[in-house]
Amino acid sequence: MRKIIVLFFALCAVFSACRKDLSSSSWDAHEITPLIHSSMSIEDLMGSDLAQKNNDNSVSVVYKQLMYSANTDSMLRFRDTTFTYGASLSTLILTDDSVVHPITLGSIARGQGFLGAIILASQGNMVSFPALNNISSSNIAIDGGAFFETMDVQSGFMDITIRNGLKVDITTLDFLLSNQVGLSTIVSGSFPPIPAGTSQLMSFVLDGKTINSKMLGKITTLNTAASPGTVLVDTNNAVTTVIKIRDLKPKTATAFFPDQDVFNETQGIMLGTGGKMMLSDMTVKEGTVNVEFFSSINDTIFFSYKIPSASIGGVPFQIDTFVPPAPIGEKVSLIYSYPFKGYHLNMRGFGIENQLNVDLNQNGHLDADTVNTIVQQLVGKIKSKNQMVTLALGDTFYVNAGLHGIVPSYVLGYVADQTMKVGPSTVGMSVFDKYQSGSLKMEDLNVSLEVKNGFGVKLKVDAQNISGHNSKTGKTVVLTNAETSAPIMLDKALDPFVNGDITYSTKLISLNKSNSNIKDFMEIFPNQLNYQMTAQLNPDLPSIPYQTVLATPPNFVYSATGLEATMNVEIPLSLMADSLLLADTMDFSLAKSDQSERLNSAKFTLITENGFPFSTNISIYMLDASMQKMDSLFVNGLVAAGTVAQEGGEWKVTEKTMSTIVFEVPAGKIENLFNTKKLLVLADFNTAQPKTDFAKIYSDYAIDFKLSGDFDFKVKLK
Amino acid sequence: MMRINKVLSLGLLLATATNQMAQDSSATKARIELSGNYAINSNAITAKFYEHFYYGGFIDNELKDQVAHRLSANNSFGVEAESKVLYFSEPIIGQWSVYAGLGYSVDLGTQFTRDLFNVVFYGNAAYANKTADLSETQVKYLESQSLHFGLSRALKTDSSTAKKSIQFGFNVVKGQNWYDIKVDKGSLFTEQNGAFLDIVLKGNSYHSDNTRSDLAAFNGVGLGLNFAYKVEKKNGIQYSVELANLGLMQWGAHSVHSSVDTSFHFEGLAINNIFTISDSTFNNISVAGASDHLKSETKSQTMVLPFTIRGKYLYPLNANNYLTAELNYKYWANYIPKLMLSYGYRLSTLWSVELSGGYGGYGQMHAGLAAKYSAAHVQLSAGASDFLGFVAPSSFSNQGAFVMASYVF
Repeated sequence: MRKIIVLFFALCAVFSACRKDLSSSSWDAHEITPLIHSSMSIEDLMGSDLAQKNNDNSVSVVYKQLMYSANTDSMLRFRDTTFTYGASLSTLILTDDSVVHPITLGSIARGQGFLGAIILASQGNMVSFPALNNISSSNIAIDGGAFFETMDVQSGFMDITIRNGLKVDITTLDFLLSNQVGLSTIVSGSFPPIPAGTSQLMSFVLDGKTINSKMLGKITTLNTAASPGTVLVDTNNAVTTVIKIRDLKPKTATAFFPDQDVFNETQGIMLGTGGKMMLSDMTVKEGTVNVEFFSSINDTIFFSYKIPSASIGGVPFQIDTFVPPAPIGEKVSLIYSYPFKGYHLNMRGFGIENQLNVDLNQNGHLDADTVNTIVQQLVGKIKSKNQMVTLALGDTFYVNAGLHGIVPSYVLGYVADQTMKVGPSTVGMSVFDKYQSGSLKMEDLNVSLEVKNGFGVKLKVDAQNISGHNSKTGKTVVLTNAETSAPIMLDKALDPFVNGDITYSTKLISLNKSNSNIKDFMEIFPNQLNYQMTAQLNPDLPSIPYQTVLATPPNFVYSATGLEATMNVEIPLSLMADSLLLADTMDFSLAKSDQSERLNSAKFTLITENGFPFSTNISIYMLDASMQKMDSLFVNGLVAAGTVAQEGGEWKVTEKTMSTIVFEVPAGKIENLFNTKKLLVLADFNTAQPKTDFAKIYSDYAIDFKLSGDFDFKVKLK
Repeated sequence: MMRINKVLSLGLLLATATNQMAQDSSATKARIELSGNYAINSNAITAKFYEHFYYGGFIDNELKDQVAHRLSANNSFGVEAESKVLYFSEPIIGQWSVYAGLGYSVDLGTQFTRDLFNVVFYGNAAYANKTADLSETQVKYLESQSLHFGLSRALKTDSSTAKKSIQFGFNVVKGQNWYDIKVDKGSLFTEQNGAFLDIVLKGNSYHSDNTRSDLAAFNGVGLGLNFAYKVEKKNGIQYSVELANLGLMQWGAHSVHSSVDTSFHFEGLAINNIFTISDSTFNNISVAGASDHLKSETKSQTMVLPFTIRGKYLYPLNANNYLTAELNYKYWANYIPKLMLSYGYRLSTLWSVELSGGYGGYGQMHAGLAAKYSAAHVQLSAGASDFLGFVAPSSFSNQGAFVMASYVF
């Protein structure tokens, strides 16, 4: 039984397995099918951006060719500006300090033997003192450890003040101050006589000295005069020594440094505008503030860089950062770059003090406005800590801070009377790129040269040479017109702060058949436009006091708007074409697919019904990636002109004309079609009306296309 | 247990099931039967063409021409394939014996015009400025598996009757794959240069869930009823009638029904600017013409199963010779009643051969050949229900073969 069941399922499997293998079945079939159809008006053929319908439904070609466009980039250039501030230990300060040490009469007496015993015994009595000579003190320990540990002094002073608290005059006082370690002398000297109850100060230069915090002081010789009579003996009366160290600038020091500014600089920096340009305001479009720090100081430097003249929304540009301590004998360097875009610069220098009401440069008054100048402040600080720091004279700290790549989006002021030179330059006129040969006569045309000034600056534009050139025929026509030959004066644009947007100052020069040779110019189909011109800024304002610039700025410039020269072309399509050959290329891509690879051959039929008054002889070639001709799709396919007749003196199309173009694509050509990257279309136009007359093109003229394919291909199931 | 058996038996009786009556259902002994057959028939499609189409290969013009010469205005092509295993028990409820089994079947029936064949296989170029008639095109395809259950018994005989039997049964059908495409009205006019096509199309199509159509796919379920009655006279005359697989099939919710009733004028893809043509433009052309007019819905569908009515009459000429007439009808596509006449010759008590000829079905003219072996426990038969397609595949259409083995315990 089991075998029978197995046999049954085997039969099922056989049927099922035999069921489908249709994927490899194939056959050749010959199919004809419509592919595309289209009806194209002159607007479709030329593009809606070129074709313009007139009131009488005729069509004109409208084309704008930008000849020249200049903005602030060619006018306002700023050199990069770098400012360096440096500081070393010599600019650091140590706190002035003093040590007070009294030597009492008692202590002096105890060193004077018998006489001293008498003095001690006379305490509280009226005694007549004899003169005392050659009194000396023992070494007195003086400790400056609360302020420093050691220092090699670059410069500084030690002030020693002796106050004579005795009842007798001191006639001689010699002293010696030395370091405890090594007993090297710091200072020594002799005081002049010091009357009783008075003080005497002597200053000593410490330059080159090494001072330790542990010092020894000694009065080596003390002579006193005899008392003028009896005086009250008080052993607590003292000769007091006050040792003060001041104005110290150490070569090296291990000390407690107080809070102090390493540097604090406020400067006005003139931006490198060049020439006579005077600016009071600027808005930055591009640029950075670059700051470089270098430090060999073994302490943290707290740094603040501020440009009070630069602000966004009233908030000034400011950087607060710090430079960590440099390892001893090494340097630390940090480089930061901060975006400066959008900042408004008040370029009136220290005149900004009036706006801020702050005496930034601390010269005691608020300064007056100037131009081209910004104010910046650099402050470097050391903050005291609970530990001594070793600093050396060679330790340095310096900052390079600067503005880099500054490009303004707006400036206000006076941009001088500079002259911008333009050209000789060439721009392509793409509207005529398709022209190859033949002639096209235009019944009329309107061309205007439009010069627009978007600068807040008066301009004198001198168009020295405008010519059209056809690179295919080699023909050149120089434009002649009285207005373009003379300088063109352009008023300045209106200030946007008043009107909200710039209003260009525009000069329109009309060129037509009667005032120029523009028809000849255009009928060579110039695909290149050559020009050369100069634009002088502020032609009537060669100089101006800066005070006037500040009071009533004569110029403004926005980077987004500038000087533009445009040629506006309007050609009514009333034409006479004689073997006018136009060429154009169009992208083409036919990807290989399973379907396309099964195509054996094809035949295409293009049926046209032409409603235009011109015939076209069309050839289409296949181009490879390097724009080389590989093959033709078809050659000289004639699309006959629509039937024309004269109505009211004008030639008009009365009926469309049908033409059929059949082209075969045999197997060999199909492979070329796959490799085709572009199609080159050559169209030879001839107007249908007599060669002496013009024919207008109307917006309702159209040509209908129907493309069908006749395919011999392999049908493959699945 | 006994009670359950009785209930089941009663249920089976009420269910009126069946089996094809090819064998003696009144046998009193248990037996098992295995059978398989297939037939490919057409009035036009040659066997060789079909082989290339179905099994793969390039169909050249010679093959197409051989078919084209045979085409009439309306043509048919069909495939029937079936395999089955059945077990018949000894009588277990009185005179009634029970049978059960498994089956697998494929039914394909198509109808097409001459023009449709020409357009598909030659292309529409030959119909330039003509209208191709595509009406009454039909493709019906069903692939299914089934479970068979039923009862059979011998009936009382009279003096002239040697054996008489009756059989009832039912099939539970598992639907695997189904297509039913019918074009009631269709035509294609091709303009001389292919500038436009005028297409008229009215029809419906149904298909089961085509995301899965393999042997394991369970896309629908159906129930078919079977009945058979057979008489053997003492004078050797035999006749039988049979109804098989009469019922319905319900296809699942993922089945798709599409309909179209439109006429449209197609001029290709309308574009605004011929200078912007690319290959993607052409890729869109086929889409633009077809899908816009088709309405589709996805929901459950019900269909009538392809049932069969068969009548057979055997007349013995003498001890060794006999004639048989068989009339078949299948309710499927454009199957027409098929009459087969055969002549049989008994070579011995065990062996006999039959030669047959007939008309109808999908293929009109038929010619068959078979051999049979019949022993006490074993019965074998094998042959070609249509052999001309094997012998001359370029000239004839029909191919068919069958095999049957039965063992009586």
